Amino acid sequence: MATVRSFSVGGRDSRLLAGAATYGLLALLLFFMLAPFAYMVTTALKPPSQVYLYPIRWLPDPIMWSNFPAALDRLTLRAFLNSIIFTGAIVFGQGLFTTMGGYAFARLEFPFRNALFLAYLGTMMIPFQVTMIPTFIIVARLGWQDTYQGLILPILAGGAFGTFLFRQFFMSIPGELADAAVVDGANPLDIYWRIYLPLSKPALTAYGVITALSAWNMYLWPLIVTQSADLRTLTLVIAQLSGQMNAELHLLMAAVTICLVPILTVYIIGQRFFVEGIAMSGLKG
Amino acid sequence: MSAPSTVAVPAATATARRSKTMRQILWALLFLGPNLGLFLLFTAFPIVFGLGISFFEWNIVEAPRFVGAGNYQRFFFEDPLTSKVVANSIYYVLAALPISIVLPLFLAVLLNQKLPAIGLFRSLYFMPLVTSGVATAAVFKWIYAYQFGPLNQFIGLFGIPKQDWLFNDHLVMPALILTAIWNRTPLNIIFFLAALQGVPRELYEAAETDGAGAWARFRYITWPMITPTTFFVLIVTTISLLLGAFDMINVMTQGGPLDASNVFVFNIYRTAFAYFQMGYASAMAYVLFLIVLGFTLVQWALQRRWVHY
Repeated sequence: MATVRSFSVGGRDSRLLAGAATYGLLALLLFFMLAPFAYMVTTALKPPSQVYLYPIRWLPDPIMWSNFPAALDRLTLRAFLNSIIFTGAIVFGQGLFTTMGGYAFARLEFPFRNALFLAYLGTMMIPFQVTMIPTFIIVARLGWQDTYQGLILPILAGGAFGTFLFRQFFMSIPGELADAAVVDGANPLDIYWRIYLPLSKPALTAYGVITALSAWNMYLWPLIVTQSADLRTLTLVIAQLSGQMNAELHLLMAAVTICLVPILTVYIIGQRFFVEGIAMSGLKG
Repeated sequence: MSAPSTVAVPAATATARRSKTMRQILWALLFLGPNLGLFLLFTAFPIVFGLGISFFEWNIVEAPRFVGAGNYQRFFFEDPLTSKVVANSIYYVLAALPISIVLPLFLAVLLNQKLPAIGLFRSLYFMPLVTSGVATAAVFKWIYAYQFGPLNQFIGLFGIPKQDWLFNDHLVMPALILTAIWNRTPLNIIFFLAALQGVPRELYEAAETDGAGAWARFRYITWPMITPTTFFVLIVTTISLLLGAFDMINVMTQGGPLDASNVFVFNIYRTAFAYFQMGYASAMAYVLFLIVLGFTLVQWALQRRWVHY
């Protein structure tokens, strides 16, 4: 820093100028990034008579808070509940299965361990489009079409990446910790539950956050496997509404806003985990 | 509970060793069992099953009929839609890719400055990250509306007449590409920011004392240091554009007008779940898989060579 300080006053001026230019550019581009959100929220708050005005009336008057209960009515609480069940089951199920599987690959010895691990690795780059059709047929044959298990289990099963991730993470935990616990009479379940899981909290949080995000936003599989309204998730209902509600754009935008609010709230609280999780997984989206 | 005693006795007999191995296998079964069962049923088996289906003609209701390589032949040589879908997919990826790399890189450089409130800017820029493809599409569909859409109002400021973005076969792809870029930008900013934060600050300070300007610092320090990340982002974005277009297209255009926005993933979905041609759709899915595999292998092969420092 000393060298920087020794610059002339002119250097500091140009530094200020560069800072101002950075802010200017960031603000300009941010306008375009946030404009869709602004359009969504302001439209969601408009009375029907102001939705289709052109040029656009950006500030609604009066502000129609009542659009939100009306939109929630269209979304249905059932869809909200379905999204929560779907996301929760996948996050906890995958969290449990991938960490246990990762532990087995990292610390237990069994036949075909390396061959199996390679098989897991090999499937990681296979697009969902490849397994989607046969998986749909399997689910239909099991009689699971339009059921929660048909909706959830095939996605819960997609834990190859998580298993790989936790295997790598567990390998980095010194084996002496487990050895010492074995001397004290601990079995693998104790070691997994009392040593490995508590040491993996950051990785678990990051993985949980990206899994939750992708489950909450998932569209293609629920679209294929559900038929009755009782099983529809929020994403499905939004897609459906956007095709139907040409005459009630304010309610559609209110509905999208309602779906975004929980996930945006979680994002704002735990932004660090989102960013870490997404940077870690790399292949999300 | 008897595990420690077998470990403690150095001259364990063969039977004791075998029982210890057995116990290990039982533990492994407990730990890996559920995971492996789901993996076999919903990942490994479908991969093989899907390849099998691709050699049949099958509408699910009737019995499948073996057609050999007929579905592949149909895709490559007979289906008039193939060239359209492939051309659309290439157009979509190639047009979206440069901006999806350059814009996030530029923004990451700006967001990497040590300035007050820069964290607030980062948070705001990352917001589309949590927005699903469906929510994005539901909003953008109306941004592109002909009569009262904000995009038409915006271009009106520059004297450009209103356009029917999603119903004009020349404009529908640019409209989708713009949406994809908006959706993808935050993720790529995160990748680039992580890479930029790995560049040692002393390099910049040294360059500055030597009188290097902003562009020179970027060109001769930042760019060489982050090429591996750039390459990674390039491949990952390509694959994600190729595979991730479905949600947006199904909500905004359904592949229309007249297949002008029908891309690979949408065509597979429609062939399977609207036309119920499971065999043909599976064959297309396997072609798509080979394309993605190609990109992944290129990444692996070039990754090692394209590291400059």
